Amino acid sequence: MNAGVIRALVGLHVRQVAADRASLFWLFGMPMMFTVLMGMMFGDMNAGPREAPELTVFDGSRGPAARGLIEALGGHEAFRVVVADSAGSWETARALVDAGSRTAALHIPAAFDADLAAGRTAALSLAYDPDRASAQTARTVLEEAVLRLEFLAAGRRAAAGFDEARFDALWRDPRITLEVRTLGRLGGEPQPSALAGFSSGFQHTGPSYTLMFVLMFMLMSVRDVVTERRNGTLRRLRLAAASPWLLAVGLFLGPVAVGLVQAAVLLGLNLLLPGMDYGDSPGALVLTMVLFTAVSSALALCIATFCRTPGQADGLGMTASMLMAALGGLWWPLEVVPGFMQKIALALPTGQAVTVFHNMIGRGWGLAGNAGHLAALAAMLAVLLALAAARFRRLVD
Amino acid sequence: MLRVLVTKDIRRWWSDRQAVVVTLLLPLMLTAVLGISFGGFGGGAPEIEAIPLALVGDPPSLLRDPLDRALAESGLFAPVWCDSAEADRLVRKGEARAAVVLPADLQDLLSSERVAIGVWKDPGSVLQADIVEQILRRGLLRVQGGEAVYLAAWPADGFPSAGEPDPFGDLLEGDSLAAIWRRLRDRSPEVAAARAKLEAILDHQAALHDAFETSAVALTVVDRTGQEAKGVGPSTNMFDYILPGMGVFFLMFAAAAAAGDLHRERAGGTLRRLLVAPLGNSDLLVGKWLFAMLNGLLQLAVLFAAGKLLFRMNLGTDLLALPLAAIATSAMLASLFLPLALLTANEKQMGTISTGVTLFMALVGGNFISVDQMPPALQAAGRFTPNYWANRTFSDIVVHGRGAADILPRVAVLFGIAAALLAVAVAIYRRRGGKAGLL
Repeated sequence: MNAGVIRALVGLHVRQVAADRASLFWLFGMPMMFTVLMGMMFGDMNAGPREAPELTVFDGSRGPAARGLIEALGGHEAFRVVVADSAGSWETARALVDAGSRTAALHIPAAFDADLAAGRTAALSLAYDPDRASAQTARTVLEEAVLRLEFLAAGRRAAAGFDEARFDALWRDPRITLEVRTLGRLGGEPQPSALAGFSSGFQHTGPSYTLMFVLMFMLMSVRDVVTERRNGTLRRLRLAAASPWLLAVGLFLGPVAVGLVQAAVLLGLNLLLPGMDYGDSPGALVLTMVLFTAVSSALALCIATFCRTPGQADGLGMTASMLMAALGGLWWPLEVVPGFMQKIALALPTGQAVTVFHNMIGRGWGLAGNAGHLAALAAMLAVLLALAAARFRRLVD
Repeated sequence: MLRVLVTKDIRRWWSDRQAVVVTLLLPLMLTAVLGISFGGFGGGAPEIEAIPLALVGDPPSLLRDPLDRALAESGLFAPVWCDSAEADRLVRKGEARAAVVLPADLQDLLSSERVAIGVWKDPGSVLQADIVEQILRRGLLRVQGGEAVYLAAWPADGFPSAGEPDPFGDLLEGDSLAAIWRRLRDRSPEVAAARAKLEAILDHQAALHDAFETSAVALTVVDRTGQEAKGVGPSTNMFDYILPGMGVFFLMFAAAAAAGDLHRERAGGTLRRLLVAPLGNSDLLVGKWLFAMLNGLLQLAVLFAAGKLLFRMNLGTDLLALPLAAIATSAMLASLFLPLALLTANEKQMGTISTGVTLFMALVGGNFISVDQMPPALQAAGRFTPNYWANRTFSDIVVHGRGAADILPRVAVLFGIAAALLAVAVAIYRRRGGKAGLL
């Protein structure tokens, strides 16, 4: 083996990437931007105090029962209650939610308190935006408050000596309670994240966008190999006593070197984000990134052998990276998709790698616990390398 | 002359068929992935797999069997009974999403003692463990409320504390109805008192049952579509939400590729030949803009037609609205990358920057996640991205069923952005010496 040729090819690729400042932004700036913004969208993420979405209440009744209902809605982090100055109308409430300026709007009609006091069924209307988590929480809290009113009214109707103070005491401090805890290494930590098992949304977005941009940068570089082939550079290198095998190894290892630097920098920068860590096994972390980077590079080389024009390379590279990111659970946690989609995800390197990260962070698993996933990544690498080498030999020979 | 330029560009684009197919198929494929992940194929309701659930406790079969049946019939859970060590193992390995730990002595549930029901959640679960907790909380709230209202109405009916005599409990002790009946028939004063208490409790239960017959509050919940909400979650076809965003996202890539054609023509030498033709001062630029716009229109037409056929998506009620939005969006996106094409040195640099710009704008402008779900600062930033206005316009038509008249203000914004960016491109072109500057 002529190690000099391989070294030269790797060095050339690294120098080409480093010389292009736009590439550097693409390698490091863009992934961090995605990690931070998407992490913020997954939950609180300690992003500093911010105003919660508004639930507007139009209280036409202004009686004690309506006030009690509004009080029960208060004090939640997900939304803030604002009682409108005017009684408003149901149409106004709906228009506000429809326009997207309120997460939800509650309309309490003028007869609400009078109906409750007279034992008649009192009407209540909520307009809400089901796409927003804050609106779903508001709806749940309102339904609980309405349930309390139902119990209260039933108690009054059923017994003359109904003790409302005792009811309130028992409602607030029930005898039978629920004790909830999350097992695993993060079990004792506070969880402001929308992702229940994690203490920070960055624990999903940090690894996910590192994986996605490592893969994407490699697949977007496929056009370089195609251009070199079209320009005849590869054939010239072949004539300069480099075997197809050596050329393939050089073109495979160059992106691997860049990918590993990119992954190391991104994973390091991610550690600056609140609540971010990668578990307790540096060995599993390093092996996962080495295998994933190698699989991505082998895939890029494979795709390059199938493309005839840079346009095709761009299209296929983008298609493959986007589909593998979406299907593999880099855009959202795999648990939210149906079972068969989870199986498809595990057939992809993205699905295997992100599962290892989740196991390391949430469950505290190391090399042994993740052995199956790491073996799957190694198998994918072997298959893709064999295919790339075979295709590449036919192209340049 | 413009017609000739545009025809030439269309022919060049069409000559690389594989690239064309990929360009048209990619948004459809991604839309399908997103739609199937969250909405089921063909716009069905989102489906959740039965949640593997560990149950810890030793209830009598009288309680366990109907509970098992109810859980299985709900389709929501796949329960398995086990001891606490096994439940801990199952949850930590992710083989059960949660474990529900019942009190060691189920009699405690019917006593005056404080009792806790445990829920252990899988650290790798982001959704299903929460569903288990929420369902339990809701169910338990009814039990807690029932106990509160009963004891507030008839405090004397409360369970005796530990160590206190419990003649009523003793009366019902036993494992067969015959034994209980024989005790009830006993004429002793103690049993008579216990029997009287049982009658009072049954009377109270009946009174409370009757009281619940009349609902105190009729709560109506309406979502943004105006439909009465039956469950929590989006109420329309998921593809209506996803496809327009994906369409605009990939149209940005297509627009960047169309603008980048200037670099390809320069590298291939065809630009030099074109510039010696009798072209007007800005004809070349306007020609590229027209090509990009037609290309975008075709892509949107294919996407929405496929969306209708494959995913049964809603295309709105007004026949004019969607074409109007598509033309305005294509015009805006065709202008978007022309200034960048004139400012960058080569196709690779242009590709790198335009892809970065596209991804950033897609993220902030609401192509991946609705702007409404973002933190307020990002919502405000999103309004400054051109794609935000395109996303909103399509969303108005497809999700909210609005017509051409309703979307006119947003269409005007899109055309305004298109005109402004085209003017910027022309200004850069002229400042750099017109035709000569392109070489």
